[in-house]
Amino acid sequence: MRDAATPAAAIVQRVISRSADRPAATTVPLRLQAAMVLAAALAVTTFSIVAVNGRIGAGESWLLLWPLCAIGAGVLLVRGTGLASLAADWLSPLLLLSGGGVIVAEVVGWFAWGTAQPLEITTLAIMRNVVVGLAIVPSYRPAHPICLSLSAFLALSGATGTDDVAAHVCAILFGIVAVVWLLTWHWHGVQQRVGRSQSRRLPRFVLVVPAILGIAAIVSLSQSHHQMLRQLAGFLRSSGGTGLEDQAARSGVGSGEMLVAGTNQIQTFAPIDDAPLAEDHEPSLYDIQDDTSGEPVPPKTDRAISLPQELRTKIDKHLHTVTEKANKTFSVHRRPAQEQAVTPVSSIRSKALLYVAGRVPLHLRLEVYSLFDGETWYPDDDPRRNATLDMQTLVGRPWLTLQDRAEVRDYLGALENHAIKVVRLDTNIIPAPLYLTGIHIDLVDRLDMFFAAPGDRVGMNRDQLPSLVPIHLISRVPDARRLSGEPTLFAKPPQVIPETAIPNDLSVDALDKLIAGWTIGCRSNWEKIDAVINGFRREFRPVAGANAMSETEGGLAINELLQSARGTLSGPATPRDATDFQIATAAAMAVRHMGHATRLVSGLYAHPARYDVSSQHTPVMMQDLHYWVEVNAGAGDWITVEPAAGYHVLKPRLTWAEHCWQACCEALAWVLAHGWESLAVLGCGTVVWSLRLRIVDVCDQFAWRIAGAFQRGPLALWTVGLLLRRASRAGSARPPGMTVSRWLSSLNEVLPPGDRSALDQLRAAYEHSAFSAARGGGPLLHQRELISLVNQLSLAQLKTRRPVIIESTQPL
Amino acid sequence: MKRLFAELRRTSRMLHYDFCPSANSRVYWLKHPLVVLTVIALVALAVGVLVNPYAYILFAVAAVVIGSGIVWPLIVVRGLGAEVEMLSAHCRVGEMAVIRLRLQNRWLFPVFGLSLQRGFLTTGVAHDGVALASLPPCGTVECEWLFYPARRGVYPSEPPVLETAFPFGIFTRGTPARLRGQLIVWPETVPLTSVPDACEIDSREERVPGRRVGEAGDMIGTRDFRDGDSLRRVHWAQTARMGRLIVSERQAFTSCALSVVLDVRAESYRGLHAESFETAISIAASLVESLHRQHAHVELTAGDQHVLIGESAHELRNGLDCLARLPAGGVVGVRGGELSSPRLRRATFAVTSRQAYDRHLAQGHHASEQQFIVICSEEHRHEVSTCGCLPRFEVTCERPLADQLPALWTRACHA
Repeated sequence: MRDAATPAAAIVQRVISRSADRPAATTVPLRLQAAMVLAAALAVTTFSIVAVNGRIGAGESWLLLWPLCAIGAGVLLVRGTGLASLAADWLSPLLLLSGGGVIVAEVVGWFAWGTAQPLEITTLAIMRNVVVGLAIVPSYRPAHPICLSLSAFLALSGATGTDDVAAHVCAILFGIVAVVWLLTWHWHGVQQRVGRSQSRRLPRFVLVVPAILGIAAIVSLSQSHHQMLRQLAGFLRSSGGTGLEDQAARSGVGSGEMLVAGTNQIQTFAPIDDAPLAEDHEPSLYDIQDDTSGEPVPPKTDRAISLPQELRTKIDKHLHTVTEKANKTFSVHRRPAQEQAVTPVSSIRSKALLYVAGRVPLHLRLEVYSLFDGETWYPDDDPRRNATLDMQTLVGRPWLTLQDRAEVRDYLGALENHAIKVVRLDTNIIPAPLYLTGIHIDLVDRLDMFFAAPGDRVGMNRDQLPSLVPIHLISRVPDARRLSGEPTLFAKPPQVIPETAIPNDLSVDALDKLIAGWTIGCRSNWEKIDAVINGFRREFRPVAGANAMSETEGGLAINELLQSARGTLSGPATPRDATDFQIATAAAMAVRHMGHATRLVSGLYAHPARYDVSSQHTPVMMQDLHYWVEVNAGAGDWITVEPAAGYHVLKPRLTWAEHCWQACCEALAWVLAHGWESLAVLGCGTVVWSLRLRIVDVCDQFAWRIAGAFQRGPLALWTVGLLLRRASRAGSARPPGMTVSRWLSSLNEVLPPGDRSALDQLRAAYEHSAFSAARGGGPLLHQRELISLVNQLSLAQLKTRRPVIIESTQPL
Repeated sequence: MKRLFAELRRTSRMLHYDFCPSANSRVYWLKHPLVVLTVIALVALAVGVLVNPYAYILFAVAAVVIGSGIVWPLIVVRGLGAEVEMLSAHCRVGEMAVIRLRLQNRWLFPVFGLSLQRGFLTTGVAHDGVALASLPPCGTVECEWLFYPARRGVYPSEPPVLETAFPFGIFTRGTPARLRGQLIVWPETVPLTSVPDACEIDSREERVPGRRVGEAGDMIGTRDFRDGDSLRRVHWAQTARMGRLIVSERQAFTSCALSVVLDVRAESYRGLHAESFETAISIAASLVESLHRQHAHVELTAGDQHVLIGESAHELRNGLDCLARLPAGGVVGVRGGELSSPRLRRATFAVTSRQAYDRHLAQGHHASEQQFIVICSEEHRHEVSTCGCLPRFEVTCERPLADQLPALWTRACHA
């Protein structure tokens, strides 16, 4: 009999204490405590980086360090004094004090010194203090979940409020530690009930999960400039960088091109147009005053556009910094005006000549040369060829429009949108592609601000283009695939014009040889031109950086160049080096020798390799100065051709069908290029195809084994189903009208007499399972015998020895 | 310092005061880690979409944790099987019972962090139950679980489930376990040594036990003559056959015969201490067991169940089984079991609550002669009823039963 008697409440305690081999329920293991403290430290550090906002000083260092010091000192104090056991008594008041202290400090600061933090920073500071308070008692189990939850939101603020990499790294590390904590927390609960005979250690492989997460996060961070990541950003109306522009956009969000005033004393902002307005020494396109009123504008003065009234009122509040490079920096941390003066923001400089937004590669034309005397190219200065300009307002925006030749030219593709932002370019010609149809500069709605230049170019009535002003361009891209189908194109001009003139000292024999060698089999004019251009691409390789026009050695060099070319369709093993000017000149002369008008164009080449996916802009550098050729297609239309290898002409956007076709072509090309691999794949495919029935049968039998192991439904039904499917694959399917039982009986013919009992048992079990209302019972099936039976009635067996089907004229 | 901590404790109590306890059940789901993680993921997603794409990384981390935390248990339980076999049929509260577990893993990979939940959770503590750190791939593990029940009853109280929440504990999925047998946990008892005085004993002729040797009842056997035996008990036929004196043995009277009535009505214990009904059961079980040990004939009445407990251990087991099977908190809407039943005689001990006792007194208690053992709270102890009657003795739930029942019972027996 029992030696003591207590009510149930006391019994529970006694039972728990009796379980000597179990750890106490409230004991928190050290690794769990360490994970909690580390996670809290990372979270508060993340927030501290946001709060510091990139400033480095004594105060900021203290702001970074004090939460960590508080956690460390608190943990030591609590452990040393044994206060952890009384945490339930003092922790809540402490959290109230630490969290409420922030509010009190804020109110006092506001009334005493006029300083105040933004609401979000104040809220996060309260959260930070609570996290610090909770983190000093890691041995107090109830503090863990709330500490980790609040820490998660603190870390999230780090990923939100700043672009500082340190904050992002801290946030990612917090995520990893939090996952480890979650794992340990759960495993600790399991450990409480695991007996001593078992291993209580957390399976090592589980630690792979946070490791993988960490690696993935770090990879994501390093690849965070990925276009996909960026393009998802910004469902908010922005200043235009995301394509969703709105006048009411928040300042700087989206890094757009609209005239978004940098209000509310922000410190840095996106490349807005009026940044260099007030105190920048560069001439601005915009001014407070309109130059159309008052005194006449002196001839040497750049024209200016007056700003709207609502923007004028905000000018005084701007920080006069220059942001030349597309930048996402936008601070959520705001300081009073007094402090801003102490911490000025440095300008963001760029070495680019201009930035291009839109599809690249892109040939931006600056100068067009028509006449070549053997040494020097002369620019086209015939004013009769100037384009007709018009100013229209489209969707509330002023657009300078040019003639759209797509109405009469089928080979012109869809409209292409580009935007350029000139940083430093000493020209008043707008760098633009061929077949320009529209130009838009925000607020510039006056036609006299622009002029048409020879060679289908457009310039601005200024000494140079305005810096940092986004210029939107709309153009059309010729579709080269449609050119060869047009017999009227590329007709040879009847009279000699500057674009067809060939210098006398040019080596005509070499040209004849090259053209004859490269145009074998070409029918249409465009095919011949294309073949010649491709010949130059094969034979010569442009030298990087050597793109300056040489006025003295041009002719000699080109003759050498032409004579050195082989003129075959295969091309040399090692292309010969030349400048792109020489290659373009030689190509232009070769095409002229074929009787077509050509012109040399100099400009800037927006290289796809320079595309910056984070800003979605392509910087154009000094090294991107480039020469190329335009070929007359007839009726004043010109087609850009690129004879320099490594440079490409922008192609029209592909339709889905074209994408598919291109993919097929590329796949075919890959197959041809990888013969052995393709053969191996083909061989494997053939083998798989020939064994397809066997493979399917093996999979089916495997599924049957699994189903049998899991006991999903009656085993007899599964087995009969397997045999029916197998027979169907073997070509001896159950005849319609024959019962399954009878069909099973017919299988006896293919079995040895000694093994027929298993089939009879299967048939009996099947009938019981299929037709008996009672659950359970029925003939007992042994899985081993069934497996043996199924193996005997294999696919090969059923194929070679087809069962004798007993045909019956009587109803079955 | 003490004063400071007292103030802190008071402040902490004030901060933790539950102003609307009725709402707890409706907002408890907010504390679930899955909800917290989902909120974090959604906030990260919103921040990533609207403000800063770097938050996508945190969203991805949270999404992976949520996804793997949900999908893995869903997959794992499909390959698990469990069988629970009770190797012990009876035990007492706090005593060890052996339960055999057969756990099967049909997957080709090991499974971690399994718990056998439901049916054996008695204390409400999260780590109650049994857990297995891992199960090998394609294998069956058989183990014996030493189960210490903390409450009386029939185990498992509900079909047990083999659960797993591995790896993060944010989502639990389980598969029901097959059950073999059941475990009846008898209520906690207190050893009592006294028997009510002779005036309380009802030793009529029919109250003879089956096995105990005495001077009454039927003849139950023979033995050799010993000095002091009456010659009237000599079995002459056997004596002649054996050649020595053989005497016959007869049955003995029971030491006492009495009834124990347990008030099982749930309304009798409503508003009292949460363990008041369990205390009443423990008192009844203690009386039954102690009296049985002292060869008393006990008639146990619990609601509409009447169990006669004589000398046989089997009968005692039936009585304790009856008490163990009573639902927790009492029987709702029970018919019978009233304390003024005509079946109750003078040698009857009724175990009930204070309020039921008062109600009984108000209904004309003079007609009955039973004695009451009343469960009451500490402040209502020795409270005189409206008619001035006192129960035989009172027991409070605030103190351990072992500290009060033996003395009170001894005094009641000899009063």
